[in-house]
Amino acid sequence: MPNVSIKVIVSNKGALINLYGLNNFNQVIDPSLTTLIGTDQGRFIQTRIVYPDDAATMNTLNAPVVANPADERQNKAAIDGVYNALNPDYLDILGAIDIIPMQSLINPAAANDGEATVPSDLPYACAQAYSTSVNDFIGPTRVIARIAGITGDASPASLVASINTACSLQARPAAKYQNPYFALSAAVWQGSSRTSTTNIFGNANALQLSPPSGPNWTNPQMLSLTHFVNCHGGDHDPQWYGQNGGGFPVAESAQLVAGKTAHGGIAAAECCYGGQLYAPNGGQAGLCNTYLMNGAAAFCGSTNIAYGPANGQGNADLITQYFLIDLLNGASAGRAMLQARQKLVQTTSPMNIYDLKTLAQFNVFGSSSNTPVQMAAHLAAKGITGTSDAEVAIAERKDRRRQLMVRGLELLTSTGIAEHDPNHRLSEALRNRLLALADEHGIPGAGIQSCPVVGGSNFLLAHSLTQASDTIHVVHGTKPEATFGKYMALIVRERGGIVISSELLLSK
Amino acid sequence: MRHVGTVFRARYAPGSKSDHVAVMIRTSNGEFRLRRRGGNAFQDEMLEALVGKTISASGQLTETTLIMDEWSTLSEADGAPAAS
Repeated sequence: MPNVSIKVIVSNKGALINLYGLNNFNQVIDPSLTTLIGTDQGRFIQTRIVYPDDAATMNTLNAPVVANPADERQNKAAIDGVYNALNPDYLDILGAIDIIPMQSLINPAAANDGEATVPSDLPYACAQAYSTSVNDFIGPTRVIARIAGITGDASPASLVASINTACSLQARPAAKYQNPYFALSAAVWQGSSRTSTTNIFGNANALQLSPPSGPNWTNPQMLSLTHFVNCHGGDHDPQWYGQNGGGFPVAESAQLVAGKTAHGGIAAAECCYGGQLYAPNGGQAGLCNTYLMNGAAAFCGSTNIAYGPANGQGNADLITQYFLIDLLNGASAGRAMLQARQKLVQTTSPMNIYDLKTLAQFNVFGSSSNTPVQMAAHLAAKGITGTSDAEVAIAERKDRRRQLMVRGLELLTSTGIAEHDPNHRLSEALRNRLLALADEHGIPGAGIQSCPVVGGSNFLLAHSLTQASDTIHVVHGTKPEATFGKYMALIVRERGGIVISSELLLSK
Repeated sequence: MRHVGTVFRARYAPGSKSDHVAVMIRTSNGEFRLRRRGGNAFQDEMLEALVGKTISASGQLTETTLIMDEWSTLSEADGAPAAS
């Protein structure tokens, strides 16, 4: 049994030098990484940097070389090769999307929100080969995260800030992260946010609503170690927005947050584009990058348009709270994200198109081994005679990795997915029932997309033995000339001709 | 590159966390959410004032959004600048 844990940091040396210049690479980035390797050693983590564009190294690992840094297929194959060769406990992707690209997965909800693809690190967390379908990545098994710089920014400051955070981070007691906390919600989503905040912190007493509050938050609020935000966000936009009726005031602004949040802090944002690594082109970087520049240990957010109900719990609500809860229980950033992804798959199966988009679009930033919160004393590793605390901790980490790998593999066989079948035949009675439901909800000229639930071997076996054979119908209609409600959709779950549930996608 | 199109309002990304009645632009390349750089992405009176007009704008075009740096209003009929 190895007496250390293994961390691999993957980056593209050519792309780093191309963006930051050789001097910055040699004099700023490389020394920071050397410091991190030394610091990790003191944590019983053996850290190794691998450049997939370095043919000599990749040959020794029997892994394919990345010839074109922007090529997603090459990057996926290379990272899989590195992972299989070294079997690390942690894997970091170093750099923003112009250094190692995210994988462009086909957006299952494109018909609703117009986004063709979902930029995602999820495929890097999975053993399955390159694909553009989210369906192929429902069984994540790897503890990974991205140490992100600012896309297109020739200054290495943001990248090095995140590396330095990984070096200097020291775990603190959970109580410091649980109280005080900073939770912020668009006023219209307060029902859902109160539930999430209570699930994460045990109460919703400090939940702030926008409007009326923000964006000038007090220093103590900003310095709270845990931030949870459920607001609107925009494409290439450094602000998040509240909402009450037709008003959308700024709730949080990168300009106001810069330099204000705590070193070692953790954050999760449900906002659309909350985790988008856009190139600011000399303007204000996004809130995700701003938190990381401030020294955030972990940030979880979405690369594009996200989903979640106004009052109940679903989609973005789930993955962000799972992530924070696991971090608060002492997980590393990478493990908290892996567990959050697995729980989302497990909880939402059979997954509809919005569940699948959620799984793909939420990513974690910061080093995968960043562990901001101490594990509770009764859970922390304890040595026995002749075996140190550290040796037991390393063994327990391996146990957790094995368990997570088993769970990920199980998900591949046990998860159901609603897959659109254009040839699916509807009975006249069911069609009329669906159209009546559409009429009931004021959906004009309804079209029906039928998605029989398919899945892995165990799911299908259980499906057939229990005769719980579902089909999910997306009943949709368009009002091309309307100023409101241009597109509406009703998600209907049907079993044996009987409608079991329906959920309307409505304005929040 | 300049983008010419008609400004209109429409519900955007229903059911999502971006769900709202947005100011959009319909160009020959498709429909995009319209925004001023530095402006409020969800509520901008200057954009509201453009609804129903044809404009020519420069700025950054993402997959879903035209972020305008500068624009001028054109007359509906012949594409000439409108009197102001």
